[in-house]
Amino acid sequence: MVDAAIQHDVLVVGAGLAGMRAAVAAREAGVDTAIISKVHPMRSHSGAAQGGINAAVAKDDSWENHWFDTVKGSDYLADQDAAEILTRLAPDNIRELEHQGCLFSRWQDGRIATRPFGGAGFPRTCFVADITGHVILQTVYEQVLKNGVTVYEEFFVVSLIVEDNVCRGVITLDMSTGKLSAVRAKAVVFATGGSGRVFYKSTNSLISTGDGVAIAYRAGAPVEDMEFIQFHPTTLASNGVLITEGARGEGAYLLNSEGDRFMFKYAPTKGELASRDVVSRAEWTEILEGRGVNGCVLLDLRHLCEARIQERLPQIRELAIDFAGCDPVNAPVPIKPGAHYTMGGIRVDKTCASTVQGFFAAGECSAVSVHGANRLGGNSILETVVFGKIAGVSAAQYAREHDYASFPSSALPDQESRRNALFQTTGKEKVAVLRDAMQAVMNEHFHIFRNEAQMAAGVNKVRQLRERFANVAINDHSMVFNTALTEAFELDAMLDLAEIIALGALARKESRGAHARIDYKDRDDANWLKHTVITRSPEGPKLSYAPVTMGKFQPMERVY
Amino acid sequence: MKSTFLIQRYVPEQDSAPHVERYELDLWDEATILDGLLAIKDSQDDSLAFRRACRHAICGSCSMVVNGYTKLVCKTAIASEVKRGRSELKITPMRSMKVLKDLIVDMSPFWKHFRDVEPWLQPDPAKVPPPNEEYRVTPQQLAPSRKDLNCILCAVCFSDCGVTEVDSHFAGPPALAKAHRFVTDPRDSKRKERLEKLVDLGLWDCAHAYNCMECPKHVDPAHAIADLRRISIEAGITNNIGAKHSQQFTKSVGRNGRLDETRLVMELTGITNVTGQIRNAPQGVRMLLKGKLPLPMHQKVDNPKEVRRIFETVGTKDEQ
Amino acid sequence: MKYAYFTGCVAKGTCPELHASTVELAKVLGIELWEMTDATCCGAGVIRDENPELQIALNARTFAMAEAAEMDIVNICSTCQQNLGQDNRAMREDPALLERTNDILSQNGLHYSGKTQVKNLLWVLVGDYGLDRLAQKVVRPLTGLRVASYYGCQLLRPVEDTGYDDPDNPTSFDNLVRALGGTPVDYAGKTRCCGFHILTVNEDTSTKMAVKRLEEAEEAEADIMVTPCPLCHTSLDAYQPRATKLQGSNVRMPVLHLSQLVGLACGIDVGDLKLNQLMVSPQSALSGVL
Repeated sequence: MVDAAIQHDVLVVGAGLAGMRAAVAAREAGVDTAIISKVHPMRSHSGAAQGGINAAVAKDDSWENHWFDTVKGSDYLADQDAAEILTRLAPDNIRELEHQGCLFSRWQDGRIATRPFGGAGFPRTCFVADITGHVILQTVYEQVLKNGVTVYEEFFVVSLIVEDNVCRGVITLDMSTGKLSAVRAKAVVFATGGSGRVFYKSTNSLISTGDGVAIAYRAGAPVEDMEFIQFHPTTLASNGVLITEGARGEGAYLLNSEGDRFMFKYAPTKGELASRDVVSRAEWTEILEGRGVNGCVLLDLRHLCEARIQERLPQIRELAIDFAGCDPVNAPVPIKPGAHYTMGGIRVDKTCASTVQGFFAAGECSAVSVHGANRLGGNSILETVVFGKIAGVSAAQYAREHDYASFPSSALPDQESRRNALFQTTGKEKVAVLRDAMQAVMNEHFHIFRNEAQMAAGVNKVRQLRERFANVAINDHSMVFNTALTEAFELDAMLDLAEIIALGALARKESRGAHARIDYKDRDDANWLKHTVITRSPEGPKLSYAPVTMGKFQPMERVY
Repeated sequence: MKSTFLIQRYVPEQDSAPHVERYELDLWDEATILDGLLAIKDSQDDSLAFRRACRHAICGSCSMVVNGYTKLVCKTAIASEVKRGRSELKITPMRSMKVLKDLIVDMSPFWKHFRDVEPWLQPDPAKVPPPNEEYRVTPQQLAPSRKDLNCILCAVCFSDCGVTEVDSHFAGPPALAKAHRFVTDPRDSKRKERLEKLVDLGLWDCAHAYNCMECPKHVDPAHAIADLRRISIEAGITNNIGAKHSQQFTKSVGRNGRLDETRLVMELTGITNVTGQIRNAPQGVRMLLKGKLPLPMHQKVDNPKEVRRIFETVGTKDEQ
Repeated sequence: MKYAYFTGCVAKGTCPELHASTVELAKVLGIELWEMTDATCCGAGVIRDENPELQIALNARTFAMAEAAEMDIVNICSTCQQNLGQDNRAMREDPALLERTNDILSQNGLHYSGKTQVKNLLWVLVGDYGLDRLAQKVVRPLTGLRVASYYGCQLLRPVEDTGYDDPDNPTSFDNLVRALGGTPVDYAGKTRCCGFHILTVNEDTSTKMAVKRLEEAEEAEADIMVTPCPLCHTSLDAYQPRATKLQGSNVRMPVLHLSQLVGLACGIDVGDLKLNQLMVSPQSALSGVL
């Protein structure tokens, strides 16, 4: 038994949109709630979401259409009951954000405006210019302040404490002092975001290292569908920075080296606004077949004219100028597909509960699953808001019905030893070297097009990197803001995730959504319409499969 | 491209005072200063501590002072400094906040000011639409706060502001820009209460240095502050030295076309405020002895009538 | 060279030595000044706070007068430069605003088409006159004098309106000091604010800012500071005794006007430059030069 210095009824880990939305919901449900985050809430990666958030707010749209588009986009791997919740609750969630202060862009008559987005049968993406995530993040943070939710900023969670399948809290590192301590909670919600940094030149923030997913996995929570990694079609070649799908939503073209709008070859109806997996594969095919421009294709916004670009897409204009040296008003922007979103995550039910008692997850770190094999643009921040709130309500409910559970006495010393091992090792390996190697392996072996031999080799390489990690040494032994130490913890997490992604991908012998195999080109519903579930075991990751919750929509051929 | 980073280092457990360390780099031509810092951390010294996250100017983590001016370093190319003739980049932590380690500062005073402006919408409960409807807000009504929304709370302007540097009471440019976002929001019901509180938080303490106009996200807090001042006077919140100064100044110019500073100072102190006048007296005597107190007739343009006509057309009521 | 000379209020008010020395300097350099005795106050940003269109209208009247006289404006104040510059840009960038403003001016029989340029004396000397030419006029070189050029804040920002120099790395003032034979001193506060604009509103903060600038110059071992702005000068010189007393500082730093420094190097009589009107006597600091 360990005395915890800090305890809260509900403890939310992660202060992006899902985490803060969960915390506000739990607080409003009347329980004592706190957030732990490794960065200040406003530094969270949710703020980087650009183009918008989907909801059938327009009179002639319907949430059922949004539901269908989401399921079709997922290549039928989404759980249809979860996707139903997502889409049915979307309009009211948007309006709730609006009532809280979010300044969505408007039509002339004062109603919330929408723009077209990929894979959608209707222009149903609400937006704030091209800073949608940033403005919603502000709004939700404002609610955190208004509701007086405690936030432990720059606290790095190193482990989730589970015993007898009951969650008891977390061990956390106060980055400003180096102190490791136990935090008890009746219910824990993970909203720790994506794992994009497992890949090279991801659109993701340097903090999107998937720690939460790995920590949950180590504590015994199963993870689901991690092999589905979305490559966003439009990222800058130099550093992987995202250029919103909203650019194509506003009418931008994709051109190859011959100046052709090639997308209609691949998606005869929707063209540039096909689903992201489709567009990324099309771009990569063009590049592989020699019609690329220095390893890129071109995103052409010139015909939108300066006024429209400045009004609707000012941020991406500046990003292109700063990072690609190219003003989209005058020249097409070279772009390529880049790792962007982790469809899979901690396996949770539609109340956001995991299989571990008292442990919940929401947002990108979770798999509810609403995105299945491919997420639609504009559905990610929608998921954070809708399921963040649900997770908060569920956790509050659980906390009211349960008491604090005892903390195993080894929990804290285990983590102290882990840190000491990194300080005391005589090894010669460097975190940065192994991280770069891992990202290169993942991009080379688990890219947009995959095959058996390449993936099998990739699995081995990832395992070799895991072995080398045992010899990692860090020079910084200070207690105050030891970011070398936290980067080592992050790499530790990412190496777990790399293996999980690799094993799931290698095992899935079909092409579905973002998982495209050149040796199994077709979707195989007979054998593979099922979720990959990976659980930790003493022998290593254990694969199993779980059925997809079907419903109204039967799988059809997916054409855009 | 070669460059030299001279980085201020400070580890509280080891150092009694900060010192500078030198790092030589040879990076690609478009590399940002953040790329440089990451390269140093990855391949030269893993103990270098700095905040960073999105690396594309949306999270606001990586603000620091480069050759004397605060920059969001993910958005600042090394070449931009080299082009200025400074291949040596002196990198120090932000100002006005305590250094915790290397380039990391304690931002809690910054966040306190942010919270002080009650940065959340406070609507009239009777006017909140039902859950299935939004407020009707036209694009024109959104326009005044559009720039404010860009603010990523990076504290670049807070660190460069000359007032925050010496006055911990001053709310600072980002908190005031945030306040402007709510004051101009047609859905908010606490406009007047907010403005009254802003006077206490330093609305009139901005010294017009315009450092904050060089915002990495084009927020333009200086303009937001000016706009708040205008709105507060329009709202009748004039019983404070700042608003009085502004109104008397304008009145003085309206009278003769030029400012009569001596009279302005006396009027602001209050002609009948004897202690105040006495307190100012030594300065007045010093100025007088140096021939620095001119006769009022020098402060008159040739055609004050023309000026008055302009005031009559565009002036606020109370100056006419 | 001929300019419409915009004195601003303070050079005709509490800084008479600035106007006097500017007139003397112009004579020596052969710059013809047409004093705009009918020009109003620039608004100083104070009128803009309260009523932006009023300030623009007042300044448009000034521009229209210079335009009619076919001259660009020279000013001797950073705040005038900043406000005239910013309002001038506002009208250039927004034809509707220019039109509205012209409607107001028309009642006075004036019209402004947007052609007038606004330049602080520093930019006239460095840009139009030229430092080589100026160097030839030097008869009393400032040899050995360590000069802290104080750009201040408003002269340089916003870049688009006033942008004759890089606000993050200005060099023109130091180059001018070199041309006069002096030694420019690099110091932390050279582009940071003097606090003038809140002197009457928040004297404590304002004087803290001024004292910090003075101390930064002293720390860099400057003999004198020089400013292109009478408002900075008021904060740094006229209020120096009061400010140092309020803030408990021992700093003592003579502060000259730009026109006085250049005038000095060009051999103008010290009496004509009105150095005796400075609050902090520069006598001993200048002993090596005089």
